[in-house]
Amino acid sequence: MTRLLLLFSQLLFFFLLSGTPKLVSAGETYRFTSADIAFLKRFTLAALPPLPAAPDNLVADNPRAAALGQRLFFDTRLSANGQVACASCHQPHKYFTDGLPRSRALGTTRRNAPTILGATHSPWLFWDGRKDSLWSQALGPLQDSNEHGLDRLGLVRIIRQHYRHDFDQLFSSRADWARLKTVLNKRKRTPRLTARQKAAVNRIVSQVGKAIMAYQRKLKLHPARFDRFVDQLQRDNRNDRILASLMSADEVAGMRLFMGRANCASCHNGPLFTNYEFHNIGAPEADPENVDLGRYAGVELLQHDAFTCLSAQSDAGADDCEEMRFLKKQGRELVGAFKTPTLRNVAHTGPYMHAGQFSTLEEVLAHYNRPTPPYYDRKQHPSRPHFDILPLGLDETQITQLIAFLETLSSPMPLNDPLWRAP
Amino acid sequence: MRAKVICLHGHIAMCLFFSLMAKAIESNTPPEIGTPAASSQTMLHIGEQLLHNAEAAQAESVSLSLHSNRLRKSLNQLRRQWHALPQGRDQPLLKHTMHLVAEEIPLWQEQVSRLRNQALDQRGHALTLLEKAFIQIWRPHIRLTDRIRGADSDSYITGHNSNIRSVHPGKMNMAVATEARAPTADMSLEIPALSGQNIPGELNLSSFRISRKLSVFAHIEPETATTLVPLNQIHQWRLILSQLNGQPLRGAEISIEGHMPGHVHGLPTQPRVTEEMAPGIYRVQGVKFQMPGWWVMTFHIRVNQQDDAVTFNIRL
Repeated sequence: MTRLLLLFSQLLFFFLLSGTPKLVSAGETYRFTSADIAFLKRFTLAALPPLPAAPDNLVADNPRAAALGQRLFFDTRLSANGQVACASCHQPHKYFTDGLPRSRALGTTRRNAPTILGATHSPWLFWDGRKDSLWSQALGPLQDSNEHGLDRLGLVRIIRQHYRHDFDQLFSSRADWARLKTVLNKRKRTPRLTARQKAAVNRIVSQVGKAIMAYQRKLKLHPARFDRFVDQLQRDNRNDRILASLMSADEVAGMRLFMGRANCASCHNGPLFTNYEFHNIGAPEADPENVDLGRYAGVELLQHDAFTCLSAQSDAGADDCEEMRFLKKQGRELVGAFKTPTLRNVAHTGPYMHAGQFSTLEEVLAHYNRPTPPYYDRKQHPSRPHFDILPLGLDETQITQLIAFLETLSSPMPLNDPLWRAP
Repeated sequence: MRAKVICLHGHIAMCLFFSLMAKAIESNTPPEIGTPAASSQTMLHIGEQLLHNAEAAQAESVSLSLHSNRLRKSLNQLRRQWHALPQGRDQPLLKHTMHLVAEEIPLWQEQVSRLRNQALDQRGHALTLLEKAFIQIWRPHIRLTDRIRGADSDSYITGHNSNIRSVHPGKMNMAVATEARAPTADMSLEIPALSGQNIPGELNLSSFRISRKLSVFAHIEPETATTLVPLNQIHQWRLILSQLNGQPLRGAEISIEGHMPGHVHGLPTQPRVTEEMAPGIYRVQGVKFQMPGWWVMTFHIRVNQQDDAVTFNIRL
């Protein structure tokens, strides 16, 4: 009997060695080598680097600025109709998204609201990377006519009315209020401003963003099942019972596909499952009459933005702003390219793609499995868009396993965390 | 002794080269930049001479190769004529002529390949000499005399598209991402490999290169603490440009182009030369690589209305 078993296991061994297609038998599901574990560890939250330095925002790590930022983030008074806050489209209980294909506030926006969790690690903000910092990013929606619908002076008026004391304490804004006194008291919506008054307005506007950024930097992702699984592997990679309680066999199979055969990890890598790069994956064009040029347009906007790292409102010296100084402005690969989104909590942050073109993960995976090339309109596109992916040729079971794995990236909702609700 | 043997075998330039090189390499005292020491000057001089000889040999090989092709054409013509001729007295004569031509062609071809190899050899020796002289002259400014290397990146897949290459949409579905993965002996995970880059044969990975028009000798090195290239981080380089006589190439207008041939995309930043730190020494800022693999960096150089370019291969 023993000899028979031995023979059988030898046969099995040779079968596995020669094995294409490689089968993962039940006993092997939870077998990971130390090199595997070291590799997987790089995807866990434990490997997340410290917050990147923010030389352009002196209050980035100031707790009082964060507290002020949190109040601003949830304040609907910061809008033309008094009903829109940052939190309207970045709702904590939806992992700071809104569940809509394209966000709705005063009007409907052009793109999908991305989660802000982990955003602070990205060198570029928005789907097209048209902002180079979270503080500058925050000023975009505030001034967008479809979102908060404020102009800069309107925003300054609201801040003076409700947050004057905080700004005096945090930013020593007394001189700026004095300078703007006559302008802000006027009934006229858009009075003429002197250069110094303009500078004062821009300063206060940028400080609003800087406080909101300080709040966003404090939002933490909590370990998901995937993180705990890899953590367990590091502690004891032989205890299948505990490992199986953290990730099912299908989820593990999905993870193996994700890291290899399905090529997901090519772009969705690192602790936040993103490389922060811009790619054109040929997602269906949301509006063929008015094509979205993605990063190509984002780079154009960056060059004319009044609130970049290089601007007067930045606290950084020019030498600190290398990404902006050496901004890549040309290249076919910019056309129609969008930032790789994080896959943390992805199962709960649909719909997907920059304009919510896909409503389920099944649709997303179907696209990657058999992608359509990017839409190309000679009249609207500066050049034929670069195309970044190849068909995967996965079968249905594999797709189901991949989706199962994505579910393990969901962090628990920190119900008691005061940062995840209005102050 | 060795020099003598080679002299006996006859090529004058080679003979000169070996006898002088022995002398040149002996002296190692670092000279002032701009006034190359005698040894470097000799090396530069011979190097330049050899380069020109190589060029001439190359040109000659091309013209001989054309000649040999013409002979081949004539032979084909003769063959056609021979087939068309009626059986008779003329046929053997024509056949004899054909034999003569046919025998001659390989001789010409041998000559072509001999010249070509000679050109390659001379060019190789010339570049070795120029590099040696260059290092002697610029020694105080050179830390890296080897090829450029990447810092031990903590990631073989950071960046994008490791396995997949961009394709023209018209070629859709011609290829499907394959099972081929990195050879990872001690891993059960099959992670994407840096395959599909189609790196041609042997790449010249030297950080010392001569320009396309043979007017500039150039060296690049990363200005990082370790001279290693970090991944996904903006850093700066130093570019040293010299004329073939050893004088620094001053006041060059330089533009930079970098791309990854295997993936049809460029750098994530637009690096540029921000200053000439000293005569011929240029600071290149804003360099960033978002993934390991084969990169090509070209520096377009413009001096006195003359355009030239120097290209480096880099493997990270």
